[in-house]
Amino acid sequence: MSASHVIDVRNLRTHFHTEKGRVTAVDDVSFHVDRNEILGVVGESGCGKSVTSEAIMQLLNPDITDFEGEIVFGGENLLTLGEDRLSRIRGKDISMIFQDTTSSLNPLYTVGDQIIEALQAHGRVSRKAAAEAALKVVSATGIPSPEKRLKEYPHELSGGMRQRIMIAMALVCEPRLLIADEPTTALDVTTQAQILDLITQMKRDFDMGVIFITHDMGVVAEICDRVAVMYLGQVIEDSTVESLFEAPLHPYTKGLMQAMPTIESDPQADLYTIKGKVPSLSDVPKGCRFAARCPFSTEKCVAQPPTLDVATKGHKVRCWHWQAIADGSACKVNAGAEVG
Amino acid sequence: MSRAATGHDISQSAAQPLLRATDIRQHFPVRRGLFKPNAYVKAVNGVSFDLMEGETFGLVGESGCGKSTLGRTLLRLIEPTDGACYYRDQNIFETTQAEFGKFRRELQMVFQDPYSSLNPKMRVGSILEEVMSIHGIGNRRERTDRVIELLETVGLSSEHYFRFPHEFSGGQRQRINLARALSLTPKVVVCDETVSALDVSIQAQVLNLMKRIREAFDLSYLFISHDLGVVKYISDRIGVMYLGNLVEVATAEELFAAPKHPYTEALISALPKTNPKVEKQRIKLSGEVPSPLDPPSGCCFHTRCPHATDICRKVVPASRTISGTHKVACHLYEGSE
Repeated sequence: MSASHVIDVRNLRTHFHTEKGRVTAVDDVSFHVDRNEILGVVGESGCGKSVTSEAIMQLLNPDITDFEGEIVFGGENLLTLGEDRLSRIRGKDISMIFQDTTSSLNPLYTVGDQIIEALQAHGRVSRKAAAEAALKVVSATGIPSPEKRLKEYPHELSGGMRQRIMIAMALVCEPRLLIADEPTTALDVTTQAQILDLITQMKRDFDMGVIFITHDMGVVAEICDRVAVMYLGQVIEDSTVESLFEAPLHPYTKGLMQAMPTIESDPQADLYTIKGKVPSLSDVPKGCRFAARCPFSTEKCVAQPPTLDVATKGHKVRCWHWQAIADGSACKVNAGAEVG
Repeated sequence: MSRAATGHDISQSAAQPLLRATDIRQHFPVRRGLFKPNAYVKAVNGVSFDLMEGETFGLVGESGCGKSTLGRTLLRLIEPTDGACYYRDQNIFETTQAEFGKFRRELQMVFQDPYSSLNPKMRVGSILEEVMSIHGIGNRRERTDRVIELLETVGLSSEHYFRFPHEFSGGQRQRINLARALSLTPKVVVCDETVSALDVSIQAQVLNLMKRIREAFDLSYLFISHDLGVVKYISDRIGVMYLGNLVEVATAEELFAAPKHPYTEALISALPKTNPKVEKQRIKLSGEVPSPLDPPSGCCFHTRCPHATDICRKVVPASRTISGTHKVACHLYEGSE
């Protein structure tokens, strides 16, 4: 299985040149996705989850961006490919869907035309054959009366409907990898449930790998097979979804899970909070990046950056004290450190 | 403390509500053409509920259900089409704008977008003082003292007094918005998706703060959100809206333990699971929310309801009390006590 990773990201670093100097938005990130697998990438704003996906798609402005590392896809390193080759991969072998469907669809063309365009851009297909393929893929997304919908413009469709069209458009060329960047964040829960079902079903039907970017742990529990939790440009925990929800090891992951009110939270108790806020990327801490907010931080954490270690099989964590925290022998130095 | 008091209020249904909304309607005209009559978007279509003193009333529903419009209508940010809203025994919809000023002092609002709700050209101190000077509270020095006190109440400090909004993060801006609402010592604060734009860890901080403020200032919240987890956590009672109608009202506990309305059931079953190992049964809703321009006859939910019968297509269900604190507008519960 390991030989057949759909995508293998190795030690990816992404640097931006800004007015304030060089900023490293993604720092030494490695992960892989297999066929018929959904990898969840979780984190809060600014953790580098979207930049990672844009690096894979090579959507970042090359004038202000530097990369290090490798992104191996189909035996090729995407970081060294020319624009010609990339544009043949983008939208065909790797597709992407976004949060904001309104700005991702062209308001001046019918959705049918836009799906046909995607097909024709990537191969010599007659318009008739392309139209048939479009109808087939749109029907597969479960849209009622697909023939009629294909003739409509984006503004005539609801948000959930537009996201289905986006998915149809992404899948019409039968990609091997789908990158979904918060595709359900703007949707209502009932629509979200439908779209999550659809993505899971499509993953199986097309036997493709999916990178699912989200900030919502509930969505992760719902559809992901494996999870990478990111914080300030680094993967701090990487695990199967079962293992992560059974025993999260990194204090940040634990905090993220407890901070989110669910219908099971006790309304009488205060919500768990992670004190402070994410440091700026232009001022990254020297040691562990989470040390200043961590209830278990020690001098070692402040001085030395921890490495991503294998804790148990299939579960990696970037923390000096995960073992002590797991067996309860670590002491909280900043206990009750919630900010008001 | 207010929580216990609320429980008491509910058990004695004779207790006077702080704010009573009755049959509120908000219809927006849509021009169809020169000689055609206007059509109306029925954004809020006859909603009634009570807000008790010290209570948090959560309002949930999906986008377009009219929950935000209802919040704005109650504070007369949009003039209502019909209905009445009683605050301190007076129908605030019938007061003149000038008279309403003194009510607005006690009825405040915090919005969703932390970026557009603060004037980018004003310093935080001025933003907060402006509200008080408009309402003629205190002299300049007293206002400044009060602002510094408020900044500390919401977890900021006096050094933030001279800063501009752009210097703050989203979470801090929501704290400023809360401070602004508090500066008039209101009784009721309408929170329209106040924490929805924030990251999870920041959202938790602001929610804890809002709970603390509620106790300290003895406030009542009308808490509008699409996030069921957040609403369940902060609310004493919850109202579920669908297509401009309030379909179910119950205590937070009851609503999630035993939802009655088929829409509420579907909404709760659609929540993502909290444990990947648990298998979850979903109630799948067919179709989409109908247009509020032309809402269905009878029960507004009948086009998507798995239990719909003939009566649902013809007769609008009235809101029935099925137990002390649980109300539902559904024909399925006809005759049940």
